[in-house]
Amino acid sequence: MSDLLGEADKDASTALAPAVLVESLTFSYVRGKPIIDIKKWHLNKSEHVFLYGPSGCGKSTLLNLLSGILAPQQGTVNILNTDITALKPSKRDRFRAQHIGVVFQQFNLIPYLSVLDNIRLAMHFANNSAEQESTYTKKETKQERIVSMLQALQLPIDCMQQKAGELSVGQQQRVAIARALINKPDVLIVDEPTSALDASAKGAFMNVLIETATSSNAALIFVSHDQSLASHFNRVESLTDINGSPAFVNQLDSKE
Amino acid sequence: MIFSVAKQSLLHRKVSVLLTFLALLVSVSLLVSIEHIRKEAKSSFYRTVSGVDLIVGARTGQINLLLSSVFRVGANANSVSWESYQRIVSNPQVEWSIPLSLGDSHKGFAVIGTTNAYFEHYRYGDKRQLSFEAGGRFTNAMVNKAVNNNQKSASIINHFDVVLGADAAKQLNYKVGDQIIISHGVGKVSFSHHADHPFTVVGILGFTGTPVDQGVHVGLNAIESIHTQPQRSLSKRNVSQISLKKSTQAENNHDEQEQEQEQEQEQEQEQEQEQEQEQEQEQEHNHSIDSDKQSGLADLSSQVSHDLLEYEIMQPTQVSAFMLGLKSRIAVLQVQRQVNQDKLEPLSAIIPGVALGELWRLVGAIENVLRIISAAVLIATLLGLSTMLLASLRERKAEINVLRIMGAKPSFVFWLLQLEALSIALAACIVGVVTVVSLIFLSNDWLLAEYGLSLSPNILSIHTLLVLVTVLAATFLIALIPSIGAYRNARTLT
Repeated sequence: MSDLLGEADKDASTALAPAVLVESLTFSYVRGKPIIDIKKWHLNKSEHVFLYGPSGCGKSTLLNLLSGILAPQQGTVNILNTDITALKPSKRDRFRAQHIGVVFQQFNLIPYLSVLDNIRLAMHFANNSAEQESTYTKKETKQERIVSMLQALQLPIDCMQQKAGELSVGQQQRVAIARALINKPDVLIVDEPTSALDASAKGAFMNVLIETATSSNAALIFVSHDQSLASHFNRVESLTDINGSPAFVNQLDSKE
Repeated sequence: MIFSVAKQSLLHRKVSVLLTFLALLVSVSLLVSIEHIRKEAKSSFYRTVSGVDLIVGARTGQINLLLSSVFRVGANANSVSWESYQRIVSNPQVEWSIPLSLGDSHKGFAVIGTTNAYFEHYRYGDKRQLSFEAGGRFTNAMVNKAVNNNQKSASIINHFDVVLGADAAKQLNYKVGDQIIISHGVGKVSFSHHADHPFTVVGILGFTGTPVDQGVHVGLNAIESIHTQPQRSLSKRNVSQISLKKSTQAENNHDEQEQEQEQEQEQEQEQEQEQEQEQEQEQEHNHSIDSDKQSGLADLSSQVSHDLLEYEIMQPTQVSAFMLGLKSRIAVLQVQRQVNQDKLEPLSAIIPGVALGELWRLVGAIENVLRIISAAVLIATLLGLSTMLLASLRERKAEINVLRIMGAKPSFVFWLLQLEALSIALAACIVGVVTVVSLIFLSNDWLLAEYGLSLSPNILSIHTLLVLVTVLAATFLIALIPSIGAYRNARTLT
């Protein structure tokens, strides 16, 4: 649908549009048993939201739907007024590379590539054929951008040449954020990034995450079952509340 | 970028990649060398003789005649009379002829009685002429003259010229100017040595990669002279006459004769009498009884007029076979028919190319067996490659997820796996070719010395390139299994 819109229309409308707008979204792995059923949900630009819910409530499924890896049976997922469910697969892949950053609880990096190459690869996918997105190369080289990003995430610069698999879990998660944010995404989706971290590392990681997400003006969707992390967010929602799937209690009104 | 990722991915899986690479390397090397040897065998087979329009011999099958005249394997029991040879050669269509007298050997190398026409007209490979590594053709002008002019000559010389094939010279370690003794009969262990017939090496031929390399070439009438009695001093002539009688008696006791011969060989120097006897016996072994008696008688009668250690230039009475070059190719079939229908003597004329083709069809089954074996090796290896890729696919599922999250298209994942498989195959191909080339290069001398095999180190023919392309194409197809799997995984990621 929005595929039919011209580029100019899109640019004009993105200024007003919410970062994420989900409408009548349903998804089921097994026919007749939807695991996701969301009437309407939206997230404003630069807004941070904490979604919590028990495991098995469809968190990962929702995130995959939001990032366009899964296609819903019904409904639309609009990211910056672009309905990604209507995009062709190849366009959706590029759109994801350019506009959405994703960090999972683990396996966020290619273990045999160096930190630098992991981030470069992400830039490569985003940059593929979208020359208009490569504006930053005019101001700073890719290398400089990566260095400043790593510095912001309080990662030592000399880790750049190290293989991602050789880093500590905490460092890997920070590199994952660097990788997710390097293309200046409009939406950063983070799924249980701290589950493998100890308590002290958790706090430090959350601080760095919120800080860099804020400074890069990305809308942040943070999903976790660990409610102690909710303190870092203004907006906190229970996934079971927004997900009207019959598998869970139907509570359609949002908490805020 | 994809190249860098593929490279680092391969480095990450060093061990399994290395094993797959080695398996592919072995099969590629095997495939390339089998293909190369097959091709070389076939081409060296067809290279043995070229530029010869017809080969004529006594009536026999065409493969028999080809084997005996070109490959010097087996011998045609019958010969062509000198008269028939002259008659056919006098055909106006005949441009040149090479008479061949076969059936003798020198230390296991075939002795070929011929004329200088052999060095002039024999062609191998791409119509290449025989070249001389050292020395030259038969210098005894009379040897050729007598043959060519069909004169009843009685020239006398005190030695015969011999031209050696490259292998024969190398293995026997003969040089130009060496005096050698030619024995009679085929096989390494001959009945006796003719101490009376010294030959002088006058030429050594360049390497050809054909049976010519194993040849010991002597003048046609030299062969004739070995078969007849050498001219000795008068005092010994009587002895030889006695020994001739002796030998006819001994014909019934073959075993005794051989024992005698062995003893004689040991005491060659001292017992010249018995040596004479030996020679008589040999004649009987190697010739049809008729011609033997004739030559023996002629021998005895001619002995009267000659002196010490001199040999009569004998007019050849027969040849084993002869090669013909015709003035026009169109005449080949016509002349062939004429020869085959010769009323005076039963003869066979064969076209070398046709006979070689027939012989190769006989031998060529091995070619297919080799091909099937190498194909089986390749299939096994490719399945191994596929297994490795599929096994790695499972552990790479997370990696593929990450790539998808980063925004990689499924096609990127597909080509990443293909690129990895193809680089392993390509590396195996390159290293395989290099290995085979260097192995051929290193073992060439040994193969040549040991088996008389000459493999060209230039293995990059269309055939081997085809093999390599097949390997790469098969790799691509086999790698489709894991690649499509990865592609599907990438599409329906959860």
